Amino acid sequence: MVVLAAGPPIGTLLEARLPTHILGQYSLIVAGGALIGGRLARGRVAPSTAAPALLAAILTLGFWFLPRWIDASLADPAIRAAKVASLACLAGLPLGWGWTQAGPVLRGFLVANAAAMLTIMGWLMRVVPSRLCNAYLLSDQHLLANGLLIAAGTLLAVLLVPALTGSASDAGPASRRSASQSQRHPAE
Amino acid sequence: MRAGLATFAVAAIGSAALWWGTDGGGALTSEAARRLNIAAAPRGLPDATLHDQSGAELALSDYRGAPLVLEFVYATCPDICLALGTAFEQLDAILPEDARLVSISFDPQDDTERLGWFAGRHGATAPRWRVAGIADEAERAALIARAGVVVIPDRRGGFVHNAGLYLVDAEGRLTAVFDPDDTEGLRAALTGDAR
Repeated sequence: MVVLAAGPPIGTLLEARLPTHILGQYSLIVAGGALIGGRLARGRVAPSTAAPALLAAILTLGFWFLPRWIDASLADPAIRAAKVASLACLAGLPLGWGWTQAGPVLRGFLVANAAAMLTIMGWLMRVVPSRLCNAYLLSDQHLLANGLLIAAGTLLAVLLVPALTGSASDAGPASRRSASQSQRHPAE
Repeated sequence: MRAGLATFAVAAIGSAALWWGTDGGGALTSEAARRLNIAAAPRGLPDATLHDQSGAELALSDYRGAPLVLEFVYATCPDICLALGTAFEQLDAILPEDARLVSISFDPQDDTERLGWFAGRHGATAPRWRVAGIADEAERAALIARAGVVVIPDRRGGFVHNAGLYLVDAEGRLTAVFDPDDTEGLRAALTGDAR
């Protein structure tokens, strides 16, 4: 998935427009890394690694959301390679690992913060009158802003609907472990 | 405890990376980074053969010895280049007599007639203010790249580009880039440090 999103011709096609670059290519690369991270975390119980892993993913994504580095990745093949590698290994992989290890509170905190950050970025991209990226048109910036706002709304729905309908469940390893312990020792 | 330490270490490394990646929080965009970089380390510009609004040919290096202000435009631009032209009109009125202005077109379609139309629209007269093209594609690309100008098609037959007023000192080094509406800042820099 990472190679497909980064290499030609799909990578070139995705990078041609700002919305597809960020929402398409970034998402595919991060998702590819997250699948590997999630698989590595399967069967392992290390909840203390969840927070640093998720923070690493957030900071890496924050770096590559900077307009300056979006431009730089298009102008310099070495920076482009660094973008692909770090989005896969420092954002996707720890995201998959950290999400698998995280409990419901940390997961909810992550989703709520991601929704807030996407809303702020989307709003900023809509109201800034000038282009933030030299390599893309202002109309592309507005399209990306809309995409980020829709993504924020989707994340909020993912967080709120199960909570409001009472179907929210805990899939974190720490709670699964404590749940299984209480089943074995109900009197304790 | 270990989780807290690990989280703190990741936060410290990530913050350092973001600090480095934004020049200490001062440059979130490549445009801001370019301006900071030029101000911190003035860069020499490659020479290029210009052809101006009257058809005369001269070299960019001919301008050495006196301060020079450049802007990058294209003659049929409907928006930002008009603002750049207006900025040059203001600079024409306030800069010292020995300073020179050159509006450089990055559009290879801009021939002498089109350059003359742009010059006439803004009252540009040589030798004080030339509107010039660069016929040689390699020279044009090298100058634009060195100045950090990014030109992309606007999907309507025109171009979109980063706009600025480029101050070049008497040694031919690009020393600063100003916003099109900051003609006073450019004048102050030119009459002070740029000489």
